[in-house]
Amino acid sequence: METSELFGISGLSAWYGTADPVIEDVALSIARGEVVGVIGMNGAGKTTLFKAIAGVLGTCRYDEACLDGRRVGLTDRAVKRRRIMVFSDERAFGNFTFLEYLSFVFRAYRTPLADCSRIVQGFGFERYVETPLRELSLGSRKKASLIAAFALSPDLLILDEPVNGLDFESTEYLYRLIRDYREHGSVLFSSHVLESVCLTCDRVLVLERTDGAGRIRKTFSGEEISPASIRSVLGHDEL
Amino acid sequence: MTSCRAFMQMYFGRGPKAVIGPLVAALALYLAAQSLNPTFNIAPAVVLAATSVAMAADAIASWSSRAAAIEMEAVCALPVTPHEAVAGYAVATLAHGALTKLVPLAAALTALGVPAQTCIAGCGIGTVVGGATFLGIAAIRGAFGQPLRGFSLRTRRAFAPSAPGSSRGSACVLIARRLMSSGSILANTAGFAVMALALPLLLGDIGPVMGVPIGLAILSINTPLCTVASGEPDLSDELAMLPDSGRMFFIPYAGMLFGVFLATDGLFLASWALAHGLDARFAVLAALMAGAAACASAALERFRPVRGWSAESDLWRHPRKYLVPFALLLLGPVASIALLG
Repeated sequence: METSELFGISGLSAWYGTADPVIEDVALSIARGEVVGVIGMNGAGKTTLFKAIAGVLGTCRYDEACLDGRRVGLTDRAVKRRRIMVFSDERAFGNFTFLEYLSFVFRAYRTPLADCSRIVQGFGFERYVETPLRELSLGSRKKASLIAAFALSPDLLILDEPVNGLDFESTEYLYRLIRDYREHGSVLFSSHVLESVCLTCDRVLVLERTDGAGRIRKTFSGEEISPASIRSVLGHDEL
Repeated sequence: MTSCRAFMQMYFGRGPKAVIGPLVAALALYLAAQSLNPTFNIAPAVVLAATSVAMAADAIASWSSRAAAIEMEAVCALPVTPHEAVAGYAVATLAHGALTKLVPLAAALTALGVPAQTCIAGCGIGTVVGGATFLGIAAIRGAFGQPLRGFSLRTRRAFAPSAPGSSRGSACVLIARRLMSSGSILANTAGFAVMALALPLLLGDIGPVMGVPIGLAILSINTPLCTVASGEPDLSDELAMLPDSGRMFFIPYAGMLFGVFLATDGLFLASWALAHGLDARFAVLAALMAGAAACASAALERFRPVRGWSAESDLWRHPRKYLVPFALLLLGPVASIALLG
């Protein structure tokens, strides 16, 4: 593995219950300061892949996972402190206000509360900071999680469909945040908006369901990244 | 009967598994109760109260179910009138209550020597009380829906800090709000409090050394309270994702469970003491068993949350709920004998 690699995993398979694997034999490597996008049709296994990497899914196995070149377990506390995941359908902690949620997350990471007023303003979230999260719309709850994740600034951000539910201004702001995040750490995110992914990412992985399980079919990097090339791999004119 | 079918599917899913489960549980309860070789009389009033409370609690819980709210929204989007939707929901809820509450209860009571006609009368009255409770809540919500919603929001906001600087998110605050906003948890906890008062009448003949630990074990089956994380898959995922979720969430959760169990157990002991008299050392046994139940329930929620359920009723019927009471049922009498000789 390269010395600049932040996180790498090989031979990752994950499943739910006793059914066939949702993803099988997936290998993934993320360099420091790299933004990696994952593209795939519905049911390809993007969320499962992210949950497995985040150590949320108990039903997975892998050959090797490395952080900073050292072999680690995905559920190790030290590994968990180095990354955060924003889920695609954020509905947890509904009884917290945003400020309480923020305080809870920072204490879980044993990190002093950071000033996130710039990000709060960027997302236009000022008037919701004291509203219980359960009273917010999907987009606003997503914003709350994104603000906490970016304010925490861990080495690896895992964002599952982060633009899902966001208004267009917030979507543009989020893509700007992701592009600028290279200075702090790496980002792994999934999206169905090809054009934005292509403009934001250093590398794009295409996850496709073949032989009943999701596998990485192709990796695009540098100038190879374009909506047309990705569409041609997927064999669809539109995602 | 479109709406009824929709709600039936929500409660029971597809296939006979959902119906077979409660029947097997009823059979197990019958055999377990009969193995106690009962020699005591249960007053008909106790039977009627037990069936009525069980069905009323089920009706109250049905109105606070998130899955049911989503289902209701979907049903109301179909070409059915609100009355048809509520009627369908009522029939499905009563069927669910009868199968999952009345049948096991009647089986246990029959095994304990209650005459069949008293059990049948109890089931009938329980069904009527359940239906009346269900329709009563529907009427109150229809008449006072908006004011009640406003009250509920005000109550919830009362917990929110007034100044941004004082906002400190803690698991205790989160869990306290979850308890206060969940009708299922409140109804079940209230139901268990009533049961705690009534249980000494049922178990008194066995004697305190065996009867008290059995009662304490039964009182630890407060499923909605013990499945706070399983009941919210998103919360469960977030907690699995966060580092230190044990310290941040599950230890305060165990503390909260201990407090609730201890309160219910206290009612049980007080009721027993009033009915039959009781040695003060049973308070130590109650604290030990409440602590064990709280720690075991929180540990199960952390390491083995229930996944893959489609309706909350699936979660509440999951056999995992019997794991902690069963362990307490085995260990409690041993601790009781060791403590009291």
